[in-house]
Amino acid sequence: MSGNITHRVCLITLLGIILFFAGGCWDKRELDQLGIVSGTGVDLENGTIVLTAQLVKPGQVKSAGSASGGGEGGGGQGGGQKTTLVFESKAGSIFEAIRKATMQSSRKLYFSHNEVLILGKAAAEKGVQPLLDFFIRDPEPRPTQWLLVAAEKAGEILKAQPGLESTSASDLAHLMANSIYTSEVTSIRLQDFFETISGKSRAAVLPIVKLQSGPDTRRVILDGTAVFRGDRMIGSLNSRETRGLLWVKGRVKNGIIPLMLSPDGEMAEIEIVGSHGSLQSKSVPGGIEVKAVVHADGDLGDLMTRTDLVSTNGIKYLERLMGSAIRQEIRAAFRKAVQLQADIFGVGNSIYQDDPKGWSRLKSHWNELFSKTRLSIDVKAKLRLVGETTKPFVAH
Amino acid sequence: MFQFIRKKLQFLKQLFNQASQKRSDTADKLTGSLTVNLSLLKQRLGESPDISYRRLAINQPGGTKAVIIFIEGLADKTAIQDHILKPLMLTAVQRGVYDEWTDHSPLRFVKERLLTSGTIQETAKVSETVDGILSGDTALLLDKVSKAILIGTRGWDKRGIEEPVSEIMVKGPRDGFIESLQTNTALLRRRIKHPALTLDQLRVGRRSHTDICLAYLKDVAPENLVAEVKRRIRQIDTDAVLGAGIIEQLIEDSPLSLFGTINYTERPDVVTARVLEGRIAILVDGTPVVDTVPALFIENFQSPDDYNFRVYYSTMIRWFRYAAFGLSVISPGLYVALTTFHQEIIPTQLLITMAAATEGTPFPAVIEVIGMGFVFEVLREAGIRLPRPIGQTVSIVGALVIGQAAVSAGLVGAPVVILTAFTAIASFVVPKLIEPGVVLRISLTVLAGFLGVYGMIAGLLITLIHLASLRSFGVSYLAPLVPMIPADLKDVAIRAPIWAMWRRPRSLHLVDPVRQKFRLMPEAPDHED
Repeated sequence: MSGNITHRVCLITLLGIILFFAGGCWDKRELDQLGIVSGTGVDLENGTIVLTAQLVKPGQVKSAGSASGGGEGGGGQGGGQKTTLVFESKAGSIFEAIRKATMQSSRKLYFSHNEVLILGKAAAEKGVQPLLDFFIRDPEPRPTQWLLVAAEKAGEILKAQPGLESTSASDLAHLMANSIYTSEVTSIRLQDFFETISGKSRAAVLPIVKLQSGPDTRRVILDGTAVFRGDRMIGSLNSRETRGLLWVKGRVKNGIIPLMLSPDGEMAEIEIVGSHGSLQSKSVPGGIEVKAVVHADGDLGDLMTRTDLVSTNGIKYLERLMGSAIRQEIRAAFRKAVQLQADIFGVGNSIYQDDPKGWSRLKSHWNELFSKTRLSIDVKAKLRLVGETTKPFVAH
Repeated sequence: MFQFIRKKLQFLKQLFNQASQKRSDTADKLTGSLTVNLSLLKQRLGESPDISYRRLAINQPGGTKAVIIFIEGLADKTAIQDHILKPLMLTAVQRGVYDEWTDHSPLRFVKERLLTSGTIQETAKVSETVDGILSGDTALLLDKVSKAILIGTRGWDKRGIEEPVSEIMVKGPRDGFIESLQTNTALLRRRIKHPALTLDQLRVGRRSHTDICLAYLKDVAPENLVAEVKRRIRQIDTDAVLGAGIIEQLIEDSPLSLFGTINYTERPDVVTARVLEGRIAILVDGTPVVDTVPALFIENFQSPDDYNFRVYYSTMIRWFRYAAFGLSVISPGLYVALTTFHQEIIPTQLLITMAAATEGTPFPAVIEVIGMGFVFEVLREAGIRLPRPIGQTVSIVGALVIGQAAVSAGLVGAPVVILTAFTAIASFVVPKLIEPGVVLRISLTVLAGFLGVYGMIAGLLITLIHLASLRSFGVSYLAPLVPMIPADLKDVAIRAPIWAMWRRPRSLHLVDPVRQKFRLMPEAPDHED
């Protein structure tokens, strides 16, 4: 019995020792040693990389959130109790720039909670592959962070005052999540961007963020979509074109379609409540034939007219208008894509999926082929609910 | 080195055995002379003031001399007067039965015609006489008789039957065991009026001579289990057995385990239920705590109230208990692991809030958590055994001064205080597991501090493996989960309706597994008459 116990004690001690040294990452760090990065910006200035990191000041976030005015005698107003701290460091590479930041920051930068990664316009036009590799290779940054392009400098975006959230980066992350309510801007996560750009179409889109002067201060706003061919930004889509793209991708879930009923400002507005979109493409002699099929459901949200349109014929009329509005959006987006020779619709992907061998023949001169694509659009628009009232209260 | 210790132990064992052998070898027979017998007993019992030697002469022509010996306080004085002194000194005359005295042996005459007491036992041994006297019986010695009569007069002061403070029930009986074995067995008998309820008496303790009573259903509990319990109790060879906890430690399967493999309670209804399930109850004289074996881990989560409340609520609350115990064990460790190793899996907003709360606190998270845990355990320990008025002061000082002040002074972060408080409350949900819970919690926190979640998982796995290896009197401690006995999950995964629990637990390997009629679900008649 006692021999047994000796055995066991030895075994357990041994196991304990193994356990102790077999642990993988010895990265014990207390919370107050973390410089929590909420947003990162990458700019290119005369060939040097400028990395801007927005760090959260947890103490300020808390006191700003809990007792505004109370707390520390309310003395923060003039001094500007900023909830964030922005560091800039210049270096030849991203990793080097990050390490250099520790020369200014008392806490080592911690990227696991980085919510947004913003690329400066100059950097985006130069090519993003070398700039993004660190963020996908290093274990700290999340592949699920939002990726955006700044209209000008990425650093400026991160220096903006936060809105309702505690940091401007967090504001941006919420804006990304909210993009489904208009479907006029897109949103994409780092990993999805990589997957899209490495697909057969070799094109992707990113949302563009810029600063806009508000009543009190400059705030971030989403405006338009950047088009990438390869890893370079080559142009942009406006909000209508963006939604045109999203219709085909089946990513329009919500939003408003304004319908012009007469030239003197009579309008109907349809709230989109759901849609399906798909793309069928085939290669025919002399080009590519693409068919975009979109099913859109909408509710009648607003009828700015005295004409009573809530009738079988009226609704059919509205559905027709809605269908043609959608068609126009898609056409505009497609025209832009062809003009930029960027296959953001994923035509190449869909051809490859149908016919991988055929694709290898097209691959080499895909950009010219894509510009000769013929598009046909099939939209089925459906109006489901007309709201809680039927007739206009002053009807003709 | 271990072999050396083992040899040493064996040598000591032999020494003890020899000593006890000698003691039992001495002459143990009563003689025919009253004077000699009396001096024999006095030699053993001594002249303590509480031992009464009452000389008397039996009321018959010869005036036979006799002595009764009893211990004041242990023996019931009115019983002695009414059932011993009166018949011996008065009744014999009134009946006018002088003639019979000479015809019969005096011993038999006294036993059959005079003494009116219910329990009477004859013995020729000094040791048995002494035992009887020390247990509260009265010994009657007659002149020229080489035997003593032990008359059952046990009756001492005992407290009333009250609801046990440590186990309160909302919808249950309000009685509880007390320190007197007889009362306790009576409480059981009153609930199981069936001849199969067997009470086996054993005596343990060289000096304490503690009575131990096994209670079980003869036709349900497995025979070998009863034999095993008896064997383990008989092998206890120690001075005194002062409580159920001590018996537990002397007979349990895994004496070094973190978990106790013997269950205990102060409630007669709980013991009754367990006996009816085929378990064995071990009642120890002098303690209101009754042990039951075999014990299952899952029993710790079953409250007697579960069976009184509605099925849905009972099932839900049982799951809450599982969750509360789990959380109370892992949450401090998890907090430490997440805040020092795995910050990336904390939601961003929460991380910022937590970072803000710990901003400026001087200690690492693991020290904070262990420190606050230590403070809490100290407070609890201080509160338990203090007189109630002081106990309240302790809790106020503890809660306000240490909790509040530590946070506002910036010594610890508020999350740690919240965590400690929650852990403490959660651990009280399963009172029987407080002891292993505390040890587990602190070890897991230390492991988490060194190795993060990796260390915690390792610790939990070791605990699980250990739990799975435990046995309680031949029954797997984790049964019915390991080994999985699906039929028994009716009282583990859910609390099935009473009418659906028609079998006794299969985990216990019972002789008679059926508890009730198979279809007992009440049905109202279709139509009103």
